[in-house]
Amino acid sequence: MSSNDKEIALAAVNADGLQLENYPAFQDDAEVVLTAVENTGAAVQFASDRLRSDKSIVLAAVKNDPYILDFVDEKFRDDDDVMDACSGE
Amino acid sequence: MDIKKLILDVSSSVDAFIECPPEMKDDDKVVLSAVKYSGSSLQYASDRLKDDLKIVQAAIDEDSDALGYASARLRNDPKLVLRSVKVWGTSLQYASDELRDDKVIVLAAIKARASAIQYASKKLISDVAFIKAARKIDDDIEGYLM
Repeated sequence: MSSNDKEIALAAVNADGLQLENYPAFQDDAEVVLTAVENTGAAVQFASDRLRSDKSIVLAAVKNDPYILDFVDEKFRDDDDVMDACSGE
Repeated sequence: MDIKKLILDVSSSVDAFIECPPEMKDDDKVVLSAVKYSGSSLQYASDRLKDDLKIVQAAIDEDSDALGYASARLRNDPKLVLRSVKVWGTSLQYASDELRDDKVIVLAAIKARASAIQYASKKLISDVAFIKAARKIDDDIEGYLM
């Protein structure tokens, strides 16, 4: 994979987070996934299992869009930090 | 010169700003009010204020063409240009050559308006992987590629 590929994936998810769906090679890349969920929280549904259970990714995603809790690992439904981020705190 | 009255006047009339004395076109408060009312009035502001981030930011938020009147330095400012192209798309045409070759800036512009692709650098237009990514964001770009 060339560095141009990653540069393009980053630029694409920065323009529209849901573009993450089109870049399977980067769905387990923390930098690309973080950029995607900061743009559109719902992009977390296209992230790898590993990153959907990563707290910093989940926090960034719910901060952008609190309605995406269904897409993240169940363990976060009892997590105070995640719940606070959901309510905009 | 009654500055308070002038600020009121330029907040509702482009002509009032065009006709005011040159030193008023270098006054931060007068110019900020003028560009908030009409972003393209930035073209009548002093060179100093065309290079002022706060003034130019207010102007580009109001008008899709305002970026074209900003200083060369600000037309090469990635944050400012990104802010403009995310809203207007086609304001990409006023960005520096360097930023029209920047994938983040150009894809953000295409997301706002597919037609913005025509202002991307030749290098990006001939990058097959880049065009593929742009098409995924908006396949209307096809109509703007030669």
